[in-house]
Amino acid sequence: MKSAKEPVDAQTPNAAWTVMNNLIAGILLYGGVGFLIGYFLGNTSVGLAVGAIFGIVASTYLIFFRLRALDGGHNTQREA
Amino acid sequence: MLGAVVPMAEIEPGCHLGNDFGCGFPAPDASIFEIEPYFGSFTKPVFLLLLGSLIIIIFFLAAFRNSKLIPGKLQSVGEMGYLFIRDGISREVIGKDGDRFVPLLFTLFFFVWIGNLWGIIPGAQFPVNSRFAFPVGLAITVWLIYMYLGMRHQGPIKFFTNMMFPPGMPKAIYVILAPIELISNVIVRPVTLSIRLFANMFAGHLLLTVFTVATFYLASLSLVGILGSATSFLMTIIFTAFEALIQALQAYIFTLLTAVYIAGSLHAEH
Amino acid sequence: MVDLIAELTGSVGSIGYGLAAIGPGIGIGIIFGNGVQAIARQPEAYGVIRQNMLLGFALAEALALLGFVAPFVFGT
Repeated sequence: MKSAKEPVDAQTPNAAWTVMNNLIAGILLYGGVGFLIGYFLGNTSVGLAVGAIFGIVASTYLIFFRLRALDGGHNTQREA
Repeated sequence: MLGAVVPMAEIEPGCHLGNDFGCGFPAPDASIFEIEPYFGSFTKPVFLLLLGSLIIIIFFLAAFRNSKLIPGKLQSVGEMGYLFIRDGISREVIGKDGDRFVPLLFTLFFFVWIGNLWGIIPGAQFPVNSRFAFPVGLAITVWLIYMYLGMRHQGPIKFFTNMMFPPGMPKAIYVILAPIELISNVIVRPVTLSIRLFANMFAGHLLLTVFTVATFYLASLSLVGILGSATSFLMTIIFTAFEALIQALQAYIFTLLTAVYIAGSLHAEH
Repeated sequence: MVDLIAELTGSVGSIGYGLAAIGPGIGIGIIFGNGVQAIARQPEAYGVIRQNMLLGFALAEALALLGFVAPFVFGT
């Protein structure tokens, strides 16, 4: 049962909101970066699209590694 | 019989389904949230908020005045409210040394909840948090609190390095992921906190308005009119109950996330 | 030749986002429902289940957020 013993970032409601916040931040940030790159190279729509997709990929990597690191390695599938 | 719609213009002139006035369904849009101020710039949400604060103060003063060891009825209810925040939210999330934040969480919870409750109380049907300024003010307060606490507890530089480089990850992706973490914790948190509360209250009020207007508009002496009007009235009642649940839930989520952000500032990731 | 029966004016992007949110809504419901059921069957595996549950949630939510960005990409 999750309680104050578990670190705050590993409890499930906080982890779910953290996942969503990371996703939104990644998409907005890299969408913005892609938009700026597209502005200087000519085509803002393509830049925005590429930036948003890169943001999704980067956020998914971040979430995957964070979730793996949160459990500290003692609850992963390697112990069977 | 099914298609014939008897106009209600003789009984009550207005915008009904079968009258000849030519108005369509008056769909409510965002302009129903703009209400004339009473005087100066003293508007209805401000009045409801002051009245709600007065009610909370009077209730809890009356509950905890002359508190006995074996509580009477009013004191029991007051204690239930207080212990819900202290045991259910604060001690679960922050731990026992977070007891100094219980007054803040208690105030936030009841303030948000009574602001929401004005949406279903007849006479004043306007949820205060459906005007965007009120959730934004609360979210900015929470943001200032957890930023200040984090910087004071962990030092200003270490607060940001702990946030941007969480331990246990392959070193190569830190470059890409540090900006995401920074923006996610500093900017996106208060934005989602305020938008979640605002959007839920806005949508709930709009939904209730649509069903109420539909009850009025479909009222005519025909099968379509009677069935439509009765169904809309039933849906209004059902959605009022659903709205009461959502209001309490949103107040709880706001307080819970505030406690989580405070705990995240106090205990850094190891 | 073709008679115009219905016409849509205004913001088509918001309709696009509304349609784009149906699928991820159902998907996230299925993910968390099955996750809760799995935790109920075997509470010891809570860590593994939560990890996979949140990963699936992130992927489904990404599509909904992409639907929010798409009107700006394809807009005028």
